[in-house]
Amino acid sequence: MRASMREGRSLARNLARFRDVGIGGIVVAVAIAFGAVNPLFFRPENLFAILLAVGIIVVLAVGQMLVIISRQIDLSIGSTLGVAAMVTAMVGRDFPDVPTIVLVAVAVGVGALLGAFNGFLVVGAKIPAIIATLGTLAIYRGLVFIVSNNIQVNPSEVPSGVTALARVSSVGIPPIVLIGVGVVLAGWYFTRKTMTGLRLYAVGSNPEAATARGLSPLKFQFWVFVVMGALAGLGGLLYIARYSTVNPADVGSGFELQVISAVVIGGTNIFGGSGSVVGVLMGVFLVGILANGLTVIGVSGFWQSAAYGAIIIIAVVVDTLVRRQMSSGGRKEKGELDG
Amino acid sequence: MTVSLRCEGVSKWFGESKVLDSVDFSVEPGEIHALLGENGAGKSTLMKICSGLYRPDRGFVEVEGQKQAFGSVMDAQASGVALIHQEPRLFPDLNVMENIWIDFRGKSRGFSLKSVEKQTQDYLDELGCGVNLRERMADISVADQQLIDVASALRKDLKVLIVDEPTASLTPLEVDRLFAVLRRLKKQGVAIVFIGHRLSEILEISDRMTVLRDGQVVGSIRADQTTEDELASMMVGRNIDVADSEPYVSRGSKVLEVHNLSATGKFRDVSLEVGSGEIVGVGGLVGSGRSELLEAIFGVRKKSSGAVFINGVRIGNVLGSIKAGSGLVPEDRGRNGLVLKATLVENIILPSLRTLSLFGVRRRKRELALAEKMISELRVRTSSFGLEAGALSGGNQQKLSLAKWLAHDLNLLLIDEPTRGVDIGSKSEIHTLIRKLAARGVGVLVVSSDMRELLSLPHRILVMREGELVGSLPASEATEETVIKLASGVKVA
Repeated sequence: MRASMREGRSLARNLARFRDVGIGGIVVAVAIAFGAVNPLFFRPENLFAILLAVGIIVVLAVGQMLVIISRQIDLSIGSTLGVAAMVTAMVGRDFPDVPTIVLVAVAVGVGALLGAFNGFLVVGAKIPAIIATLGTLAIYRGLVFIVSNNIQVNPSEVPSGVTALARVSSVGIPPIVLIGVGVVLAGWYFTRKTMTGLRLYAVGSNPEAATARGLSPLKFQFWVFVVMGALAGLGGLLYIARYSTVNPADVGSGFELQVISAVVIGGTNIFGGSGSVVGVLMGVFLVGILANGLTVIGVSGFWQSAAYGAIIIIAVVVDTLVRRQMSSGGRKEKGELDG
Repeated sequence: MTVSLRCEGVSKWFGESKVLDSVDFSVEPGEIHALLGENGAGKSTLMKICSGLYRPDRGFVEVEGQKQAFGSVMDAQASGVALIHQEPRLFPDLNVMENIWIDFRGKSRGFSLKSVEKQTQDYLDELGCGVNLRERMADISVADQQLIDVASALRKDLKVLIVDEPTASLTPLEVDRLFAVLRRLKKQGVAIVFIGHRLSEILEISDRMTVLRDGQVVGSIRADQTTEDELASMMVGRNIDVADSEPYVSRGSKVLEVHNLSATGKFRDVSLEVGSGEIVGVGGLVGSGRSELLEAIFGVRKKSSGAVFINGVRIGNVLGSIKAGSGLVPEDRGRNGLVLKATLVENIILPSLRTLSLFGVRRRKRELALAEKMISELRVRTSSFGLEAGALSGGNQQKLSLAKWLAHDLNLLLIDEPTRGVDIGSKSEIHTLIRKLAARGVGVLVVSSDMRELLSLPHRILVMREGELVGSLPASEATEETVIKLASGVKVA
């Protein structure tokens, strides 16, 4: 009896692992395909560009994963990133002597504030997240124009301390990538090693049970929006570092699509309760490589959007199939008299 | 000695209806106190107030002499009150270990799930629950989930333990183990409130019992000074008899024929027949494949081989099976039997939509008329037809789950644990209803773990063990002993 239980258990576990490895395999296959079509894809400069893009997306994706685990979603992240980037760039332009660390605080602070407002709408005003954050997606975009007076911040106006984040440092790796790695590690530690992380899964898995066991789903859901906002703010800073130009019309727009694609491809259950940082990291790599590779082989931007959309849907279908397999393979019978 | 738990003058309204009316209730340390009453009598509400889920509108709760202003479950937990729910409150995405420790509030320094692994295993061993600590809760049977829920209460520093119908999904052996655990806690001075419906069990385990009826205390009585009959009549205010069914007289035609049916890993090579007007019981331990057999016959579970015929017509899928007039009332009514978010009326008419609608357009008047008829026939107690099904008590939900199929033109009723978590009054009503259906010529296949029900309701009893049909007995020849021996594989001497 016990032996067969262990089998059931390890089967389910292997499937889950197989899933992460599976995405990893797809990432490699897609990269090879792009390289075959256009060898420029594998040039160091291009791989470096992919790494920078991935470094930014992953910061937001870890936040979005936490939001989705808690049974919510944040569609406003592109605009949140935009407001944070614009405000930070303007502070850097108008006060060139401000140390970089202060700019980091401004970016994260602005993001957290906008995230808290999302949290208030969803938890306090009880507006479904998909509507509330669709609203703030538009509101925050408007805010970018209002604070900037529709004037873009030019590369020459951005403090060199910020742009240095995207350049190869003395360590040999650009700080953007290190920040991305830091966020991934923090996210991994939080979800895998802390009781609070475990409770976040619990809250998303069964909110009613969580309430009955003395946990407050609303509290968790509010704070994940704040964390999401703060990470989107950090993403705004990285955006300035990478692109130098902050144009109110396009700063951060479309990030929600890339980020949510990455999170879903990474196996995060869109209905809450499960998701892993490792999976999300794989998802981010796939999205980053696709975005870059499609450009390198000359696919237009319009088709790129269509490609993301298709990938989200395929990812959810595959995920559902894998989950079904897991639950029928992993299910076991109740013990008999041997207990 | 101070009283562990004391409720005084507790009243509670839900909207217009008064669910509790100045209830006084107390439990002493080391006492097992049963709380009895029909569904809807207010037992669960009272216990939810004691455990901080609801606030009383009037009156108060004391734990060890301290007045409690429970605003939350956390406060109640902090003062040593734990509640084990009727339906296990668990997290499908987390594993067993995580489920048990999720609300751990002690020092977090030096605490890790690894460090308490042995302790957790001990709790589960004591309860006789053989699950792997790392298994996902979604993959675990209802009975084991119930035991895991108990284990997560054992972990805490308990003063008052409230168990709401813990035995509904457990096998007799598991019930024994649970009772042993409760007796150990009792020796340690924990006050235990036990809510249940099986009177024999309650008389066995408890020291004292309090009966609630319509939100009021009818009386408190010591276990050694009462009988099942007395308790039953206190609960419902009238005498209840558990009658055997009339002997079955064959009408010649077969409603259901199952030939060599198998479902991989669940059951194999099952053949059976149910005649028109016959009630056939299926006994066996939890996990012997009984529920899965019903699901496969109904068509919601994939069969690996074999064939099912209803009134001679071979059935391929659920739709075919519903068209042929079969209906399934599943064990977990909350998950599979009802649409909890939909209204009473909508739940009742769901399978009959095809006949009620005209060219795909719903006809409200006919729907309402049908629902009204079913609700009064089944004596579903509700304040409004527009109520969500989820707002009803367990017994009334079960009746609703039945009503859905009765409204439909029925030939075969497949029913899994018809009276699990249902009070005595509703139980006999449900039995009467099943017999009435049989008298109308419907074939009934009923899975039951309640031995008295299994022995009294059906005309014929089939017993399953580890996925195989191991016996068939006429009800007149079956006894508790013969069924248990067949089910557990004990050789008859």
